[in-house]
Amino acid sequence: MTAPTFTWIGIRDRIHVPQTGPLVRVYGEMRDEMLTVGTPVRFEEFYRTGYRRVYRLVWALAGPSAAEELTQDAFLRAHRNWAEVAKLDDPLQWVSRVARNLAISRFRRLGAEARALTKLDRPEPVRLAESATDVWEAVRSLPRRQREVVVLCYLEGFTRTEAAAELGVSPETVKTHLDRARASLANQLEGQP
Amino acid sequence: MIDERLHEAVRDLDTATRRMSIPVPRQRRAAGPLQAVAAAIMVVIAIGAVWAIADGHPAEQPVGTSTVSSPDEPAEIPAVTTTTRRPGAGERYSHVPLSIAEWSVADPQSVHEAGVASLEFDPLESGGEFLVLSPVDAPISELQALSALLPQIDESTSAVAIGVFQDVWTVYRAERGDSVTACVRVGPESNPCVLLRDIGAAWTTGDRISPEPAPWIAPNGTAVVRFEDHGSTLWMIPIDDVVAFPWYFTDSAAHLTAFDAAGEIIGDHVFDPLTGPMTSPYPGPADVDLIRALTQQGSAVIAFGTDVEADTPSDVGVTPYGELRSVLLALNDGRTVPAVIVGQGDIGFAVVWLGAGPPTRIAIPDDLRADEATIVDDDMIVVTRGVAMSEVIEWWNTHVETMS
Repeated sequence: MTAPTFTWIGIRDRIHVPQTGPLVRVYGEMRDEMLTVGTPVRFEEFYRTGYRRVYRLVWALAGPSAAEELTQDAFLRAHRNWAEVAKLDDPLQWVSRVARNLAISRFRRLGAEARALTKLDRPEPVRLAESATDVWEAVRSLPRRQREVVVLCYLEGFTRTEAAAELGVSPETVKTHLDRARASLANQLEGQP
Repeated sequence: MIDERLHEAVRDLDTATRRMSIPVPRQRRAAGPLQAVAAAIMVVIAIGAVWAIADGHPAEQPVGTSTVSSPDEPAEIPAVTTTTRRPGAGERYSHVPLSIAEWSVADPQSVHEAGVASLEFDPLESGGEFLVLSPVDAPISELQALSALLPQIDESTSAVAIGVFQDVWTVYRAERGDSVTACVRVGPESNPCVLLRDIGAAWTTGDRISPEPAPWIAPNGTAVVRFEDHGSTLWMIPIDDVVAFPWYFTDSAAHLTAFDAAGEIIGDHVFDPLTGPMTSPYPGPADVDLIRALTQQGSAVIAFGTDVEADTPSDVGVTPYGELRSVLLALNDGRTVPAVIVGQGDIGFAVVWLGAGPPTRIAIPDDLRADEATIVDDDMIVVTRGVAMSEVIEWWNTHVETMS
C-alpha cells in the first residue's frame, strides 16, 4: 500500500458543497420544494415579510451582486428546516444569521463571481445615493469581523453586548473591532487617520 | 462624522430596500449551449461513475480520461494507516504556489477536451504551458507524473489543472510564483454561465525533490511549514521535530506529512474519511486517538484545513471550529489548549499546537503578515486579515509561553 505523494488542493471546492451555484438553481430548488413538499403558506408569508431585512443585511456585507442569491439561499435553508426553524422565537433572526454567515464566508469568492454575474446584465434591485454606495463599499472592504460589527451595530441596531453575543465574542472585542472599523472608514472616506 | 455617514448610509439602504420588489422563486432556465456542454460532461462523469462503481471503484475516481487507471486495479485510496520513516536523501517538502489574476474559458468544451489531453503534454516542449487533468481522486500514478513535471516549470510557465468535485468541474490556470486565484467552473447543468472564481489553491507534494533549500526554510535553518493563499503567505511555522498535519477536507483521502526540523519527511499518513476514523470532513472525537498517537511522534501537531466558519446557526457545536475545540479539550482532559487558528473565511485552516507542549517561539519572517481579521479569545486566536503578526506573537507570548 503506497501513500499518495502528491495532492492537488482545490481548497474551496473541497470544503464546500457548491451551494452557491447560480441563481437559477437556488430559485429552482426552492420552487421545486415548495411545489413538491407542500410548504405551508406560513413560510411564504415569512419569506415575503422577512426578505427585505435579510437582503439588506447581505447587501451590506457581500454586495449587490451576491445579495439576492445569498438571501435566497438563506431562506432556502430555512425552508428545508422549516419544521424546526418555525419553532424558534425569532426565525428571521435565524435566517439573518445564516445569511450573514453565508455572506461572510463566501464574500471573497463571490466577489469574483459577482463580476461575472454582473456581465449578465441582471438588474440591480437596490440603488443608493453615491455617498451611501461609497460608504457600503468601504464597509465591505473592511476585515471580516470589522465588517460584521459595523453591520450588526449600525444596520441591525444591535448593542455591543448583543453583537458580542451574536458573534460569540466579548463586548470588548466588539468595541475593539468597531473602533478599528470607524478609524478605517474615516480614513477611507474622509481621509482622516 | 463617520457615524453620521454610516447612519445616513443605513437610512438610504433602508429606503431602497423598502422600494424593491421581492423576487418570486423562478423556474429553471431552459438549458443553453453551456448547459448542454455541462450536461454532456455530466453524462461522461455519470457513465464513468457507473463504470467505476460497477468495478468496485469509488465514484469519485476520474473518469472519461485517457489516463484513468484500469478498473482491475485495486482502489487507490488506502485504508487508514500511519507509516513513519526517516527521509530518503534529498526528500523535502515543497510547495509550489500558482496563480493567475483573472482568466476564463470561452468554450467549456475545449476545456473538457484539453483536460482529457492531460498528462501527455510536456510543458517544456509546448511553449511552457501544459494541461493536467487532476481531479482530487486522481490515481496516484497520475499525480506522481504531475509532480515530476512541476519542477521543470520555470517562473513564466502557466499551468492548468482540472479538478472534479462532485459534479462540478473546476478548471484552474496558474502561473508559478503565486497561488491559483482564478478558475472556471463548468457544470452542473444549472450553471448559467462560466463563473470566474476566486479560488485559493496550492500545489503540494509530500515527496518531491527540491534541488535547493526551499524558501520556507528559515534563515536560522529551522524548518517551517508555509501555507499560501491568494499569493500571500499566511503563516510560517518553525517545526522543531513536530508533525505537520495538512488536514485537507475532502471527500477523498486526506494526506498528512510529517517533517523534522531540517524539512525532511519523517512520516506520511493518509486516511480515507469514508473508511477511516475521520468519518466527517471535520475533526471529531473519532480522530482524537489518531491525533493523540501522532502527537506522540513529535511535540506538536499542526492541522491545516480546518474551516473556522459555520454556515448555519444549527451547525454551531459541530462546526470545524467547535469540533476543533472539542478535540483540543479531549486531548487535554478538559483543559483548554492554546491554539492558533489561521483562517480565511470558508477556507480557513488551523494551526494547532498540541502534544508535549507548545513551541516556545514563533519565528516570523519580516515580510510575513496575516491577511484578515482577528478574533482574540482567552485561549484561542483566529487570525485572518488585517492583523499584524506582531499581535499574534504578542498573544502567543502572553497566553502560550506562560502555560508551557
